[in-house]
Amino acid sequence: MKAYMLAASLCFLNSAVAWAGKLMPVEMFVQQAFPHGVPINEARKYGLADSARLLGLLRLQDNIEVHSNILETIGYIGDPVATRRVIDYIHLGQGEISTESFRAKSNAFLCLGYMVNKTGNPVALNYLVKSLDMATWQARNLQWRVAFLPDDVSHDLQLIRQAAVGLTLSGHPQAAIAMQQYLSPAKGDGDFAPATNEMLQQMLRANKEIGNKGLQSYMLDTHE
Amino acid sequence: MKIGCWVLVAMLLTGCAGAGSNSDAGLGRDAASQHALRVAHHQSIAITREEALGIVEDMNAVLSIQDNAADVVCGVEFVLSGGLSAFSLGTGVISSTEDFASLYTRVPGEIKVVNMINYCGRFGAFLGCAPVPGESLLVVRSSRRVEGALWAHEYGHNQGLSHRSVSRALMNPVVTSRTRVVNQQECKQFEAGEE
Repeated sequence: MKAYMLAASLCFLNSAVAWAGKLMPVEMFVQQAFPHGVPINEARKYGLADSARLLGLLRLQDNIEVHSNILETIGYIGDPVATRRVIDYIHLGQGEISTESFRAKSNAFLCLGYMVNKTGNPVALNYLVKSLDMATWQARNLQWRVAFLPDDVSHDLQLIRQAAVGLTLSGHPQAAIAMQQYLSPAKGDGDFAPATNEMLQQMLRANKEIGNKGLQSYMLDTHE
Repeated sequence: MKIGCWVLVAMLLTGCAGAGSNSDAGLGRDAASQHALRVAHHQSIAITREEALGIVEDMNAVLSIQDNAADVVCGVEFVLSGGLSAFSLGTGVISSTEDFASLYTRVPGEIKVVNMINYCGRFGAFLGCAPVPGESLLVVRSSRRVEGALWAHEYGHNQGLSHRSVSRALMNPVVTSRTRVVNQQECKQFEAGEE
C-alpha cells in the first residue's frame, strides 16, 4: 500500500515538474485542494473546450470530491452552453446526499453567479433571482436532502442563501435589486428570514464592489 | 545518505503524509514546543477522535520532517487536547461575518469543523478560514490526503503567516499532500504559539 502511495506521489511529482510554467490540463487543475477557493486568475486561463471536458467530469459520481472545484472553474470560464447542465446539477439527485455533494450543489450557485459576472448570462441570472423566493423551492420540490439540515424549511432557506451568494458574486445591478426585494428582513418572518439585515447589507456591499472593481479584484484581495 | 533518500524514507514512514497511523499524536521529540489543540465540530459532522488524532499526527509530520533543502525541521509538536466537543450553534454553515464571529467567539477550541464555509472575509467557497493572526480556525472535512496540510496551513494563518507562492510551501494557496515546506521565519512563527 505504502509502495503504491510512493509511486503515486512520484508520479504527481513528475507531473507537477512537467507542467511547471505551463497551463496544466484542466482535469489535473481541479484535482487540487484550494483552501480559499479556486483561484480566479488561474481558472480563467482555461477555455470553452476545457469547460466541455469539465462538464463530462461532472457526470461521474466517483469523483464527487472535485465537483466543487469543477463547478467553480466552469463558472469562471463562463461558457453559456454549460448553464442548463449546471442548473440540472442542482436539481438532480434522490434521497439523502452527502455533505460533500451538498457543497458541490452549493457551488453550482456560485458557478451561475460567476457566469453572470463574465457574460451577463440572462438564464443564469433569472434562475438565481427566482431561487430567492421560498415558493420557487416549494414548486421545484427537490427529491434530495442533506442530513445536516433538519427540515424542509431550513433546507429551502439554505438554498435561498446559496442563490444570494451567487447573486452577490455576479456583481450585477439586477441581482442587487432582487436581493433587496426578496431578502429584506421585513419580507421575512422572524427566525425564518433567509438573511439578517446585516447579512443582506454585506452582500449588497460586495455586489457593488464587484460591479465597480470586477470579480477578479474582489477575489484577489487578501482574506485568509 | 543523500537528502533524496531521506525524503523517500520519510514519505514511506508517513504514508505520504496522508494516511498516518492512529496512534496518539506527537512524535516524542524532546525539544519540540507543544501546541495543545482543542477540536470542536458541529453536531451534524461525523469525526472521531481517532480521525482527529491522525490529522494532528499529519500536521506534526508536515512540520517536523525535512522534505527538501528549502524545508526546515520545525520543533513544534501539536497535541490533541482531550476529547472532541460537539456544538449545536447554527447549522454549521458560515455565510456571513455574523456566522463567523458567532462561532469564533462562542465555541471554545482552536479548530472548529463546520459543514460549509461561504464567507471568509469575502464571499466564496472555502475549505478553511483563519484570521491572520487569530485564536482559532474553521475547516470543513475534505480529502483525508490533505487534511493534515490544510489544518497546518490554517494554523499558520492563525500564527500570523500569509501565503507564499512557492510550489511546495505549506503556505501556498494550493494545498496538496506535498505542500509541506516551511522556511526559518515561518517555523519561528509556528513556534511562537507554544504553551
